[in-house]
Amino acid sequence: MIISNQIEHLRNLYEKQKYLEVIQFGTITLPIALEEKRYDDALICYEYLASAYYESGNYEKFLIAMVEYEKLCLTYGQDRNKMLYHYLYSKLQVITKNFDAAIDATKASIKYAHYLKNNELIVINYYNLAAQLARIDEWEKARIAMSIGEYYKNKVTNYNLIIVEGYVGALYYFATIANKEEFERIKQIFLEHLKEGQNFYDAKILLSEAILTFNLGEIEKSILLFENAYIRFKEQQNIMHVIIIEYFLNEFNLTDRFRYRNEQQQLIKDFDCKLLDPNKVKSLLSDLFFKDDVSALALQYPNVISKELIVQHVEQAIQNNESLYCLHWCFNTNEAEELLDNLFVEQLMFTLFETIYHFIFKHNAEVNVISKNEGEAFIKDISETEFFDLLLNLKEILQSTVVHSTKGMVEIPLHFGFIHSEQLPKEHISYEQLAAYADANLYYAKTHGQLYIYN
Amino acid sequence: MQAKIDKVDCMFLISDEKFCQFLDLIDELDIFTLVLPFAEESYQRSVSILDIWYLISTEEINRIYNPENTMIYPYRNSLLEIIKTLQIKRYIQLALYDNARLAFICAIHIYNELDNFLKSKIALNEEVLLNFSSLKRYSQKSLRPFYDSKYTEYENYPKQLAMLQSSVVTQVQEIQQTYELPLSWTLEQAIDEASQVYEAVFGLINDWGGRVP
Repeated sequence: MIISNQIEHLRNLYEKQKYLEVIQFGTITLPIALEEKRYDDALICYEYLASAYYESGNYEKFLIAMVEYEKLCLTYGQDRNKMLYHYLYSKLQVITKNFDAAIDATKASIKYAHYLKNNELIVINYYNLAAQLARIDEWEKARIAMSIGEYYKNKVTNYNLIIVEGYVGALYYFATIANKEEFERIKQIFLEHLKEGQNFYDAKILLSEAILTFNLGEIEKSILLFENAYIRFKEQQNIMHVIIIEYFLNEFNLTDRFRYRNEQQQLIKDFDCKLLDPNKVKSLLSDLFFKDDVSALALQYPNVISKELIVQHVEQAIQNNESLYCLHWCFNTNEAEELLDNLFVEQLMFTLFETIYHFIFKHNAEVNVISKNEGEAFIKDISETEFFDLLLNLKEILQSTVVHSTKGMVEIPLHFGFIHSEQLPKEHISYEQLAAYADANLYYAKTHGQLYIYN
Repeated sequence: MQAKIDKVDCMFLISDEKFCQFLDLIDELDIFTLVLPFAEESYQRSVSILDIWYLISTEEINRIYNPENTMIYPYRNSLLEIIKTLQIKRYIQLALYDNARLAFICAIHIYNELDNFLKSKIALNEEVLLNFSSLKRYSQKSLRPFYDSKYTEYENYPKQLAMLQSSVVTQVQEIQQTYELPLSWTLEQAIDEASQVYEAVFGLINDWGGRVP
């Protein structure tokens, strides 16, 4: 079969909810796409595979697919892939009951969906966001999310399986807030659009009905619905949802009254629950939340961290009345870029960055990489003399990097901007102020051709 | 949306109470800020939205410009000059004076559409694009420190930065003149969309459900 048709075939299988066939076909198509370096197609394969594993309840394979998917996304992913990655990642975090992480991921997916004007993913994500916010008792924000989801749903003209899946999130939301009328309305729409897929989704509908009836105070009915949902999920071999049922039974104190309690415990016992540890999942999959270039550097350079973390650490230091330097650096590579090969210049900037990093590393500085030729570091516990020694040593090493090429000699001008926290009035010390002043100092050093300015 | 902004960076002189109201809105209505793209997240974007929120929700007679910031941030000022020319539907404008939430949602949509529109026109000219990109690199932080008096021994003011802003402002003004009608239409659409989203969540803008013509 011609390769381009394989992706179409995967899409058709998925829309017919033939998830096992998606998995069979996808696991053949994926390695071929990777081998032929057709990364766009490989990413689509991962999306379908991960979704199919999720829908068929195979948690372990879902996790593995997400790890591989993230790696490829970091290197070759476009905005569309990142949108879908965050959407699937949020579903993974819901399974591990890490609702805050799920909410962050859903919000990230929504941002991409708005940027790409993908109304389907906008709707699904807002519905899921509503359900996730309701789980952490953020009722008003959940209501807002659902209302916005409904608004964008009215703009969708073409209903396909993807958007229909979003209704599951809406059902969970209305079940959680015990709104029977809206629940029934969504359920009717869901069933109308599902057509052939009703058999597959009946288990999820049963589960959401169980939650609704419990919240309406109909305990006996709720237990019956949980039992029916359990039977269906067991038939589908969907261990993920068997575990989710257990969560709810514990939360609602219904475990003792659940008829299949022992059997369920055995099923869960046979499953490796360590996989559901939110910290383990987070450590496996967290790179996409860094900026792409930072995450690659952070692997090798442990003191390179995200801006959010730096801000936190700086705020902490300020609260503890610790004084610190904020240092910005910039290499001027304009001349080098004109004369030399791009790859060579990139490598050169990397070498320069490494030099700075290793020098300030011994002072336990925290580093934020702003771009390939600009960076920021915060250094605590360093005297003024030591700091200036550091700068002058850096100057010596870095400015001696004169590149000889067939086209001549190229110097890489270097500039610093820095400020010490004691130079600012106490009430104005913050990450933003320190960084802004370091930036201003850097600007004047650059425009006056100096290594740094000092006053 | 970045909530750590400084009141002194607002283009208008606003009270602490008003400023706190804006910060509360960022927290309360954070879901509405999801239309703003990741990649453009910046300090300047957040203060620009503060400017627009204040502009559209305060009658002209009550608005006082911060003269320092008019000099420091000519680019942001040029955005406000564009927004001042908008023909906002009367019933929405009346509501904006009383309804801080509506104003917040409108400000977000106006900023987003204006930024997208300018980017699309600027992309047509490589030199203009270069200037715009250079200016964006300063968007992560306040520019007030650049004008601190301690730098006067080097320069009276940061000339290069000022020239960069000035050339971008000229380009923005040219775009405004060349594309006056499509720009107005785009921004009016943004306000319409914002008010529809508001109504989908909070109900009709006017309590009594009518529309003032």
